[in-house]
Amino acid sequence: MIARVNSSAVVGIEGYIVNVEVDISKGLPSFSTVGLPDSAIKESRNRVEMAIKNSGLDFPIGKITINLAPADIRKEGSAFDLPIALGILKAAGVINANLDEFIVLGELSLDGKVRGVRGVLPVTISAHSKGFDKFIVPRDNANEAAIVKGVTVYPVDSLLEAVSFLNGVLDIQPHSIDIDSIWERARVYDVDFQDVRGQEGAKRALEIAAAGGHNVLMIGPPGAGKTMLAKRLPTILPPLSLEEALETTKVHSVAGLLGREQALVGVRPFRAPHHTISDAGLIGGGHFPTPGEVSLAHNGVLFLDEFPEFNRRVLEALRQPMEDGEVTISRATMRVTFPARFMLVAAMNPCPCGYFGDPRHNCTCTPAAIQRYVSKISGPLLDRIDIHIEVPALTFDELRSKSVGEPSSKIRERVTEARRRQLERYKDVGIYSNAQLSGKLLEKYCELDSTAEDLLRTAIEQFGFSARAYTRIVKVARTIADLEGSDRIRPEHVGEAIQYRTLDRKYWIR
Amino acid sequence: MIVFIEVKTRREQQFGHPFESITTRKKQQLIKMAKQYLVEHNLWDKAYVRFDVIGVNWPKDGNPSIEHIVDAFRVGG
Repeated sequence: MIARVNSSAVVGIEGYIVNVEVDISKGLPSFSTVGLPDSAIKESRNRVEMAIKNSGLDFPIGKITINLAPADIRKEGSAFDLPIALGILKAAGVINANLDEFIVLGELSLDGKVRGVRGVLPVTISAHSKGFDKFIVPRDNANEAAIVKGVTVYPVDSLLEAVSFLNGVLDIQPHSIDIDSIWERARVYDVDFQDVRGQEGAKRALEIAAAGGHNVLMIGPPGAGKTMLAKRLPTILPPLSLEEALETTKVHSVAGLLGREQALVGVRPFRAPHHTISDAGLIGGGHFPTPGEVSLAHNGVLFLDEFPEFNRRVLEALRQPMEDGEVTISRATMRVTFPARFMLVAAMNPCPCGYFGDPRHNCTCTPAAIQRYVSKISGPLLDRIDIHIEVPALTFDELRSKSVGEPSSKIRERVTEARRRQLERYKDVGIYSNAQLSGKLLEKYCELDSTAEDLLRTAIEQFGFSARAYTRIVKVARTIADLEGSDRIRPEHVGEAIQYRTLDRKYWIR
Repeated sequence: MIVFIEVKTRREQQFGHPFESITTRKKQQLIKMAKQYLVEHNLWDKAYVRFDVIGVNWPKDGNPSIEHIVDAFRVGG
């Protein structure tokens, strides 16, 4: 007899339906799985057999064949354990109910307990769009699945529970969550810009970066507060919309980073990978591609501390996702695209010892050593970072000062307003922030008045700025004007924008 | 259902448990034997098949004890 159970798997961050077909026929007793399973699925036979036996049920005798359809897509993971087990029990006549309307997901442990799996949210979303609205999922993943509007989620703890439920012996309360209250609770950050003493210049620069979506490079001695500042950047970005949150949650779900209690990533993610990270870890990869840090930082901030210490190959790999807002990973077996729209915040010491330019410490580095250190970052990559700021060491007075800075919520209001102006202005040209301006669009939307023009010309001649520094200055000036609510770019906007390039002159003489 | 049963008796304890004699090689032999039987009797695809193992511990100076494993192994592990 053939039994069919619907399940689902993920490619990239999109789910697709997998039909698990189980046939038990006469012949020599055996158990085989077909339909491009990976090793985790092939191993499922042992888990499934033991789980069924240890649940006190009979494992049927016969030639058991499992087919995972469509047979041409490679399947991975352990989420097929439960559907395979239910299929076998259905084929053996232990389950009498019709399983057609359910999507079943779950890994089995040897004692018949159901364990959580990865990628439940994308699976639920895509299966729902294909007309399925009943889901049997591990209890660990119930929150994640229940986010999707219009689906009924039956959480199960064990195989036996699932069997009794399908046979109508056990009633399982559908799991429901209050999306509104979860959404409210998930949107609270546990850090705030108020926590940062001093560093007003850096705070202002980060506000501008947030308002225009500009990437930032912070340069300063150890202990100046670069990490602390970067960690708080997500708190002043405009709040996530529900669609953005779902998108980010999908990536985290596929990567297996959602906790049992967590249903939704409601705040902008902050990812700070260590500088020993590999390119596959940063961009995503693996035999069966999984998202990397750039995708985990989707809609949030990617913070790279000790920027020059990163492997050069790894940093160069950043360029493409920064440009496209997504990253495509090609492997022999498949091609997968993950979203990767993030703000890059890089931090570095000014020199190997860390104290170059610090008035209170002597720098022990030779000029050649400094040059070598800073030149680890390539020009093309630096080109994609619009704002460079110096974060100086704090003085004792600044450290001890009781004065409290502006709370994140205040800054966020201004940033959100500036972003709104940009969305309005660019609604017809397919971009969403000043950082994306280039070529024609830059000319069209960033007209300077004559005084501003003069100021910029003097600066360029005096400081010897390059052509690319010029476009960066104009873009940042555009954002500063937006923050002020000004349609025109005035001289003071240009003047401030020039400040955020002076490091060009100081460190990277080109 | 056709059940093939391997019965192994041990009279001396020092050679180990009777079940220990059912090695991978022994299983392969039993599967081959079963295939031969099914083909000869035209039962291939016509019957459910099961492999059991019965172990008999029969000390020279005592009574035998019998253990029975139902569905002891299947084809391919």
